[in-house]
Amino acid sequence: MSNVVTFTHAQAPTKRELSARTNLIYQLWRFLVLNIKMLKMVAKAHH
Amino acid sequence: MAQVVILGAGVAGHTAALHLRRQIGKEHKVIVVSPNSKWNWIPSNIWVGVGQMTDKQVTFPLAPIYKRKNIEFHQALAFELHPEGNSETSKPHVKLKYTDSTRNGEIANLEYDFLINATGPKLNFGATPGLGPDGHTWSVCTASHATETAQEFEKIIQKLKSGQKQTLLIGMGHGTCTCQGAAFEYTFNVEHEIKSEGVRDLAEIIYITNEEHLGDFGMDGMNFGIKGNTVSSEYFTESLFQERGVKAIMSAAIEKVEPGVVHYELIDGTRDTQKFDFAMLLPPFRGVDMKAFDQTGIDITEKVFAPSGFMKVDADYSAKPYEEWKPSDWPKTYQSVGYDNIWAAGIAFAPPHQMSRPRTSPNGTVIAPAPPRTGMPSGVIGRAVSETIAERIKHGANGKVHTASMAEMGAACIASAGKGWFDGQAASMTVFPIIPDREKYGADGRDIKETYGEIGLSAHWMKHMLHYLFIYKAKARPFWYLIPE
Ligand SMILES: Cc1cc2nc3c(=O)[nH]c(=O)nc-3n(C[C@H](O)[C@H](O)[C@H](O)COP(=O)(O)OP(=O)(O)OC[C@H]3O[C@@H](n4cnc5c(N)ncnc54)[C@H](O)[C@@H]3O)c2cc1C
Repeated sequence: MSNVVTFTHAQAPTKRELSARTNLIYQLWRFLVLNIKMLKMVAKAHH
Repeated sequence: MAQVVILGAGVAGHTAALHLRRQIGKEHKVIVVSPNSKWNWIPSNIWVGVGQMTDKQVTFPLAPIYKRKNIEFHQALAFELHPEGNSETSKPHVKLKYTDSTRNGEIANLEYDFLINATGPKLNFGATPGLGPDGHTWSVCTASHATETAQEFEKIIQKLKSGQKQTLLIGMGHGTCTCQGAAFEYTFNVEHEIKSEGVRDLAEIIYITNEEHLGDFGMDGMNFGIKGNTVSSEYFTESLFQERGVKAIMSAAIEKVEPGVVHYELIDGTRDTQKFDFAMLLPPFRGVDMKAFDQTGIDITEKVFAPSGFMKVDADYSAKPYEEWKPSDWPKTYQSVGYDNIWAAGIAFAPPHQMSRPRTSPNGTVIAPAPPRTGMPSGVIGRAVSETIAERIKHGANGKVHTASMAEMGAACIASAGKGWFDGQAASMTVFPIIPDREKYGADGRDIKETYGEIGLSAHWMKHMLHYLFIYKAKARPFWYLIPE
């Protein structure tokens, strides 16, 4: 038996999820959200 | 006048040097020692390794920056620590060997009042016979390694284009490796490039890892809070492997590499081989080769450094079972054991234990990731140590001690999965705290609201933005200090 695992059992992203990942408008919004999340994280790291 | 010596000009050392210079007066000296003339934004090496960036885009010479900032720079390798001085002087000092063209090979002593050890990891390719650019595999750990790797990768692309099937093996070159995130990123950048060239169907891409399951990342995995649901990092990562058709060998410790084949052992003790046409395998890390001596010349290396070669600091290093590991075991001030004027920042400090569950095969082989220490904590620790030293210089023993415990700090990891302004992708993951705290956050050990994962183009933009932002900061351009670590 091969030890090489193919992840056919794993949940594939839906078509909607895939298109959201490259949708420019949605991704611009996520970019903003991500920046805020990161800044919050950074602020918490400094004592 | 105080003299602060910083060993290492990477994320931790360079951050500490720049911040310290701002905090203390000109009458005090800040001296950086590093064997490389250039600074390297290591996270972007993965793009160099697939030919999407050049060595020049991820490195720059340190000397002009240090000259402008009034920081003394010695291009040298520190190899001996004399924290109590020696028979000739009571002044603590480090022994250096110069590596620049004018003083190459020259040995000198450098005295210090305060010392930061920020020497990062030794890339321990020697732990696995045949591993590394001097053996039969490639690496992206340094910019020059990544440049060589890109040339080899280009040959693979050409072979695929000529219709030859190719197997690419990417991952961990030893059972105790860390830095899974970097191998993960390289895997998906390779996949992205091969797909862009239209030859994906001829390439088999295999990720080989010491992790028990995908998404462990050396942190025992994590649960992400996504849109009100809890999603494990295993599920999140497997989904990406499924989508991109990447296979994996898990719970594996590579024992040796021969041309075109790796020999590995699995956690159940069985052994097997995997053939490859191209392999990028990371080495395990250990502390750099440095010895310590007391004033009489007695070797005190074991007192100052852990067996892994990393420096012992204010952590609880007592051996105890996994179930008894606590967040409070992790260091807060990074002050060395036994010497209150020495600190270790970034990868250079010895972690008290792993974060992933320790696992050993029936043959006694340890197959479990070492704890990762990524860029953000390295920078934050470097800064905290510099602030502590500035306080000590200004206020003596009453100065405030700054802390930066990884048990109270989160980390953000943006793992590139392909470069491109419109078709690029990255997985953005945040985790809080880095060290799981099961008393505070329950079985997960992490704050589910702050632990989050998402894949998309925006994360790629973020990764690209960080590339420019951190190089700007490292070049100490105007208002660099407003950019957080
Ligand atoms: C391929 C790759 C990709 C990565 N990607 C990411 C990422 O996307 N995000 C992230 O957060 N982290 C990433 N990391 C991890 C990140 O690079 C490290 O966390 C960070 O560089 C650690 O900083 P450091 O200062 O401790 O060590 P380093 O940055 O390695 O610096 C060590 C310094 O010490 C110097 N030195 C070595 N020996 C001596 C000596 N004997 N005397 C004096 N100086 C010495 C070195 O020349 C260097 O200047 C990645 C790592 C790799 C290998």
